[in-house]
Amino acid sequence: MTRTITRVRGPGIPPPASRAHDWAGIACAALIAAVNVSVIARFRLPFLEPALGFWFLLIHPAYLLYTTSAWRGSAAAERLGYSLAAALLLLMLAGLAANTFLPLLGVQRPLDTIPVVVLGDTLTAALYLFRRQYPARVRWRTRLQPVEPAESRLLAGSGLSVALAVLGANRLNNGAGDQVSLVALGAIVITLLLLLHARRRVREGVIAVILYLLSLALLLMTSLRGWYVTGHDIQAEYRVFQLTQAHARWDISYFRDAYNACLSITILPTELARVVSVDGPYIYKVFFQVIFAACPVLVYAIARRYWSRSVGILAAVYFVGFPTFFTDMPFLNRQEIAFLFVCVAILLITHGGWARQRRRPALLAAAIGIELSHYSTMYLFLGTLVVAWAAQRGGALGRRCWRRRADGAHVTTATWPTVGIGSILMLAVITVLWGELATHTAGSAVSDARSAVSALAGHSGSTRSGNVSYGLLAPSAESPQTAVNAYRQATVQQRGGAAPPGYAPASVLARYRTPVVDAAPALPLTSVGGALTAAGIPVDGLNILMRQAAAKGEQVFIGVGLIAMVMARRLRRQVGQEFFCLCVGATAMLAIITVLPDLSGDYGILRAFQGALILVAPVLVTGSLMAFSPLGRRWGPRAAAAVCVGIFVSTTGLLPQITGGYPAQLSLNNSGSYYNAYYMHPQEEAALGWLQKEPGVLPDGVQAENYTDQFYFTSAPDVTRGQFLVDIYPSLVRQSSWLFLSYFTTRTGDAGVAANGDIITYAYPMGFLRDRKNLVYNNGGAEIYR
Amino acid sequence: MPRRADPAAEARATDGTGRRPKSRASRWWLAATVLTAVAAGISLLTPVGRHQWALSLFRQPTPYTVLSFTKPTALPATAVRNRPLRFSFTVGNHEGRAEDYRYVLSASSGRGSRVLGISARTVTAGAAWTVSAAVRPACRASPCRIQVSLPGHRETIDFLVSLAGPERGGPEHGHRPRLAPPRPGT
Repeated sequence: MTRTITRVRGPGIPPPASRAHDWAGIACAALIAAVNVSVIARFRLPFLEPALGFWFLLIHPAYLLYTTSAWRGSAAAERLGYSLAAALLLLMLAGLAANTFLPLLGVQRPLDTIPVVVLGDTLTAALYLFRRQYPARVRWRTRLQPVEPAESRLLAGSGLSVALAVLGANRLNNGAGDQVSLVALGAIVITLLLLLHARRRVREGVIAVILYLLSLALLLMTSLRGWYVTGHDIQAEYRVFQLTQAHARWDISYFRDAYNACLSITILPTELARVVSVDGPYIYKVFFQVIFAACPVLVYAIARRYWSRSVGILAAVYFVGFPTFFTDMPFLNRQEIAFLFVCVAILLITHGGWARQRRRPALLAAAIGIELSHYSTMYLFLGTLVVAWAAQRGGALGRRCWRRRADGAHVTTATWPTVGIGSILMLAVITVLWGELATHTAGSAVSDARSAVSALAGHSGSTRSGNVSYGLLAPSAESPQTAVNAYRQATVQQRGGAAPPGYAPASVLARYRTPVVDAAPALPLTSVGGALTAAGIPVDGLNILMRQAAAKGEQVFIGVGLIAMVMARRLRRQVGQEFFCLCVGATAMLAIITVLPDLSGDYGILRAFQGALILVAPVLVTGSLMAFSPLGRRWGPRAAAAVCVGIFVSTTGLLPQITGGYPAQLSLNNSGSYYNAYYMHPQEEAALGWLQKEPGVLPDGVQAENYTDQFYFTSAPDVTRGQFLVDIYPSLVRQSSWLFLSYFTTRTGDAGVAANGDIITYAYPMGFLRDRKNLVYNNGGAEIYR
Repeated sequence: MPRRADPAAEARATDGTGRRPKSRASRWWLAATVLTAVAAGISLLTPVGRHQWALSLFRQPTPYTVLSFTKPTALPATAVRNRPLRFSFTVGNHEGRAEDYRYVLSASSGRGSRVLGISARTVTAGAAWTVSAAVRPACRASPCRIQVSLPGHRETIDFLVSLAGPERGGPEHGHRPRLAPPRPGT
């Protein structure tokens, strides 16, 4: 690595740490000392200590890396991505090293406050020395020149969006209305329109800041819903984080599970929690979103590698406007960090200014980051690279048409492909080393691979996720009632037959049906929706039609974009073969996940699409531009931009919320499927607190819809997975267990079951519980049976 | 590709001293900012406005009442008809203000229900009222469900007991409460 770093200090170039800038170094040292004292002395200054702690552990190290010459020849947003990812990787690896070696030196809690603060200090000192050795000439004065009026308006709009998003989420949490959240969404849309209008007058750095703030606003609108841990995967993510924090040490043997193998949700949040001093859930709710909001900026940077500003901005809008970005990503914190590393890996692969000998080790480092952050993102990334490599090797187009770049330059070492069989093998080795040899948690991936192969051979009996219906060539998904019936059969087999001891016999179960209900009916029409309906516009159908059109239209645009890249010589030369093949790889992986039933259920097709958009978002925009090109050079791009913003207005929920007639979204309502399934109420928290104090909870086991995770680690050394059942479905209810009824079930009598990656709501047979168990706790929002 | 800024336009935009004259738009921005700040200030003067700000900025308490058995694992599973059956439960007040609570103990089976005991007390905010009760279950059928409810509140708790011993006749509805007086706890 160091061989390729240029020492820019030399004759005629002043040393960067000149006396004029000493004050900045002194101020940083003083701040670091202040953070050390306040964290160790536990001053707990609200807002200030979290901000300073975050700056100390992540922002300042990333800044030090940003101002080295390690990323020479890279644009500002790209440098930011490399620096942020490098800082995150260093934190995870340094944490892992401390976790491994400090116990050998007698430190039994290597991730406790003092070791983490010392780790932060050491990291800062090392990076400071590294920067002294390899400084970059960052022209701060040029970059921080006076902000133009157009820029200030956009910055104000995006900053206001963040503030309104926070206030709106708080209001909804307090049971108030959606007005402020709606205004926040409106501000986001207006800022985007202004940005598209003024894109030529706004500097690249300012565009990056605006995209960052708008993305952050969207993420916070969802992540800040609820005062506790809200969401699906985040429940288990929070538990493994708490496990590491409670022991001040990470050990896979505490809980051998793929979640616990992700250092992004174990060591990383524990390190952050030691210095930011906030309630545990807010590590994910705020700080992880602050980190992940850089991802759309990197998507913009990837698009800018080959395309214009307008294409880059629209690509970023498609990325953040995809529903998974703001409805699911805040609940998938491990994948948020992994996506950052994927973005960085793509930027590294396509870095035309670096030689291949430099790109490949950097790709390897990014791949380590992906693997340590999230196992299945690594599998998908590896699959993408394999397909891309195969496409490169066996491309029917031949190499001649790709040989020249847009500028006419001949192929050089810089344009040689980064992805080769060697790098793919290295990535596979990393995956096996961590997933299998180090943590022994790759079992589910192996079984998924087996079932995928079986499905390819046509021997699979599994069912697909309901989300495949959004696919362009959607295979049939089964009906919800069929899925629930299949679930009943599966649970009867799982528990060990018709009448195992401790469970209700099959004859009893047969008396209690579980019919599927529509738990998330469409919102009632608003006055606007009513007026539109009166004018003959069917609002209900329109919203559904727009969503379907958006989902299928995006796929059509990607297809058109890929074909255009093959057919149009200008595009072909502009983009280059490797990026094209990577896009083919991402699209192929998406198609595989859509077609193979187990993968669509286990991994989630929408998450896969979100990941693919990192690469194909600019291709999507290119496709839309091609599709609208008959409108002419003036109106074609405008129509493409209008469609992009129109889709954003629909998918973010702004339009359905204004008109009504569509299921409620969590970021805008205190209703809807996600609210019912994942929103935690104070009564539920109180009930869990009561249950945790009861003796004998763990040996008897706890059953709940979503909250069983809460009890994983009450007494970690004694816990085995057999003590938990993650559902209250009647055939799984044990006579001796504690059974927790959520707010939703208590208030409506309905319950949810996760089948093939979807939540299906059914009418819970309350009589079954009443006949078999005692209702021992009730607070109006949660009930506990035993 | 991005367009570079037009130097001529740049020159036109400045007043010759290098400083940018305040444009009409920037004056509008200033006016809008001042108006927003004034509106925010005025809204703080009214209770409704303050409440709205509080809803946006601070977490508001959620009022609720907790009803639970004190020793849920030690609840009796069997009982003898008309013999005292002892258990205890707690009423916790998280309503944010003092609350008058009245509990009703009842027994029910497939053939009807009867009230076994009633009592009332004012519980201050944040406090709990623990009741040790002894009731004589008099269901006509077994199993018998002993229920604690709080009229005026939605919370109820209950447990099932299998009854043994001779059954005493008569309908379960309309019986006078037959109870051992509840012993108020803390």
